Amino acid sequence: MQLIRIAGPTEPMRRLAEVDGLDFERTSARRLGDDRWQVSGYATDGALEALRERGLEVEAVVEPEQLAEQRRVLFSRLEADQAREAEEQ
Amino acid sequence: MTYPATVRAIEAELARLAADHPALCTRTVAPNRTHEGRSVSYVTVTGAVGGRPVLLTGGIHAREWAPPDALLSLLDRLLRAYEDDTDLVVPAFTDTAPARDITYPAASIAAADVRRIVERVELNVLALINPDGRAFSQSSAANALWRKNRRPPRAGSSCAGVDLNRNYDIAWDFERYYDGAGDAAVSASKDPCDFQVYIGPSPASEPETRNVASILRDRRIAFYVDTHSFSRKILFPWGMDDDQTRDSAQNWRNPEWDGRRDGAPGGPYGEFIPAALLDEHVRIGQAMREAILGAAGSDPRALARSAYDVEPSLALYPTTGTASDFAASLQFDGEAPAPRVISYTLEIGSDADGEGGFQPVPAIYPKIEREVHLALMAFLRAAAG
Repeated sequence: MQLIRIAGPTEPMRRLAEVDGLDFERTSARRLGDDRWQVSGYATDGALEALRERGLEVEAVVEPEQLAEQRRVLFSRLEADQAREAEEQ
Repeated sequence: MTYPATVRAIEAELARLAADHPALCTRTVAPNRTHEGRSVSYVTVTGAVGGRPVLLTGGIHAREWAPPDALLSLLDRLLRAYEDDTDLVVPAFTDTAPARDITYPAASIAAADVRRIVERVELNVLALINPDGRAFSQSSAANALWRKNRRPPRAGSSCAGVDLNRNYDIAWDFERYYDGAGDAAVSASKDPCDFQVYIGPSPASEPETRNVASILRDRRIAFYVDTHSFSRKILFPWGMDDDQTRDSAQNWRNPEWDGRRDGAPGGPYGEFIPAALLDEHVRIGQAMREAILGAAGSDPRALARSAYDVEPSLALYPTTGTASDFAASLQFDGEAPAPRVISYTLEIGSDADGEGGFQPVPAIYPKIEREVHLALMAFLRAAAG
């Protein structure tokens, strides 16, 4: 899983919901030109391949290792808080 | 309260705020418990009777962890500044992740503005609409991207959850509403197994949706912001189609347009919004944008990372059943809660610049938080009149 930006013409970009393994943020859509858009989302390796097969451009914003490290930081903090809450109960 | 807050920490913070500021702050439990039996509460801040009713919400999407935390810290700062009769100070923040540090200077909202807001606005804050979803999203890294609530699966299915921000009673039945192209592009689904945008079995079927709708209606909310992440945008109605100010017959309630709406910029159909209402949304949205940008200092990198776009919700994908459109729709539905309703979706943060998309890391969270505070204080100034 990685955080990516996808760019391409309007028609295939309007059909991104059909791509398995892609979790895109609809409000991130930005018009790049008359018939071109950019959207951000989280994608599995399979989704990356499917996007490229559709002729769309894919740019990595947060690589898998970096995303995993961000999650590790967040969940270690959450687990500490959840453990403290459990003790307080 | 440390970011990211657990569901329990958010409820505890709401209770603390109400207990610490009893003369100003009332905590109310919303009428509907969630599917997992959690209660949802919100606080109302009133410095004087008869203030303009405002609602700020967050956490409708489970995975968007920063908005509820930032709403609660805003409340804390606002209440303390009012009681101490001081400026509300948004502290300086230095982002140490880039090669050269980026410093965002401190900013302050004058004590007189704080007073005016608290005494002229009835401020309602429902920081966490969807506690079941947040608890699930925070239960393990594998669930971190969960977006929906936790409606249990139907018999014979394993698919849980409804996208609460597609469940409001406005153009909910999108298949009736759009033509083929609009229907294909719309960000909504009738498939309960859709991981993102399942609209639910009926309009406002979800207890969390009904909680927000009841506040909007019962308190006759005139100013509303639903806080989300991410994309550095300040979005205003409509999300269903592109805005137009010429033909009031082109509206979501008109069955003559059913099956013919295109859900795209241009095209034969546009959702009607009165020109004055559109202008007001643009004006207040720009004030929110300027509040963030104006506090970014002079470093061009800070300025670039503080630039929010103000635009209608419709871009590439039409949306139906959203909280923001529903709030705005109430002024046209005959139950008019106010002469007009101003309504936004605030999309905070970015996928880039180390801001972490849906889940910023703690090191960058103060930047996200300050943007929420600056934008919403500008919004509250506008609401105070």
